[in-house]
Amino acid sequence: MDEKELIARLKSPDGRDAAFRELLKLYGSMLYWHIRRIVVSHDDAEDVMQETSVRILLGIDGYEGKSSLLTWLYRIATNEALMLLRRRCPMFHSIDSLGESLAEKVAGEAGVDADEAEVLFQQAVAQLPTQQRLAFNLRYYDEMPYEQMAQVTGKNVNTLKTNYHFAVERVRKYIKENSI
Amino acid sequence: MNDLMNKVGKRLPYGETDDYVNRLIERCADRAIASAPSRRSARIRRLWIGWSSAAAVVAVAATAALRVAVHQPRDADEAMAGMALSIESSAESVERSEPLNVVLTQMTDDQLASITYYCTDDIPEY
Repeated sequence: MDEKELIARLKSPDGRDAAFRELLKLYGSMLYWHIRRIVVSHDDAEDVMQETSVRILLGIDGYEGKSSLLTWLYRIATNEALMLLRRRCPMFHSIDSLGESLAEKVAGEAGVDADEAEVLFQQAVAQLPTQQRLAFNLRYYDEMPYEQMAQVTGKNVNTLKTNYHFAVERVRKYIKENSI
Repeated sequence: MNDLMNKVGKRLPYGETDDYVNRLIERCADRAIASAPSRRSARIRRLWIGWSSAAAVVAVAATAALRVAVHQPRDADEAMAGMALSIESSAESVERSEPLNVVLTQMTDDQLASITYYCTDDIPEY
């Protein structure tokens, strides 16, 4: 489906609801897993996905097309996920302090048949500082170009490249220290 | 880490299937559509309350400024005359009531005891 056509239908009062359902059908799964990789918990991811859906629907009239639709959706989802982490965070603490608890949560959220290597890898990613984790997730899992990542996160390209580099180093170190 | 990355790829250790996620997405869409009108009207209501409050504050401030401007003494003599008048009127109100020592001497012993006695139960807790 043409993105411009979809946006036009989203902005028109008549076809909005149907277009919105199509939009979530197209991109909803990507958004859910992006959120899940940030917040780890399925329940939290569902809450954030719900809030993200409402924000998309209420904010579509304000979408000006300066970035691609997907970038805009990712930006909303990322902000909502980070807001949830901030609410979970003790007062006067950075959300980076949640890294350890998120890494512990990975094991609890893992399926019964989960591979130990998958759990370890995801724990290594979960314990990263927030900006490094974001850069890693967007680059590694979503294969997003740095320019697009910059529009999603609001950081500049060089910062993102640095964050990704350090994220890879820290993940490597975590795996080495925690491998059986 | 390269070995682990090659082994794990992009797989996540979570158990939710694609079908489960798709149904979750559909529920999110349904709820968002259902709640969007009430959120829009709530937003409009908040904006209206904000602007009304701001207008009320401006009106009060303007009234207070107007009163000051109306009663502003034209010069120092007028200001002094105004102050003297207010002092005299408050002095008159003091002179109309009896001095305290006169009041106390007129009270009986029981009346005096009642105003000095208090019960701890009467003291409010904070």
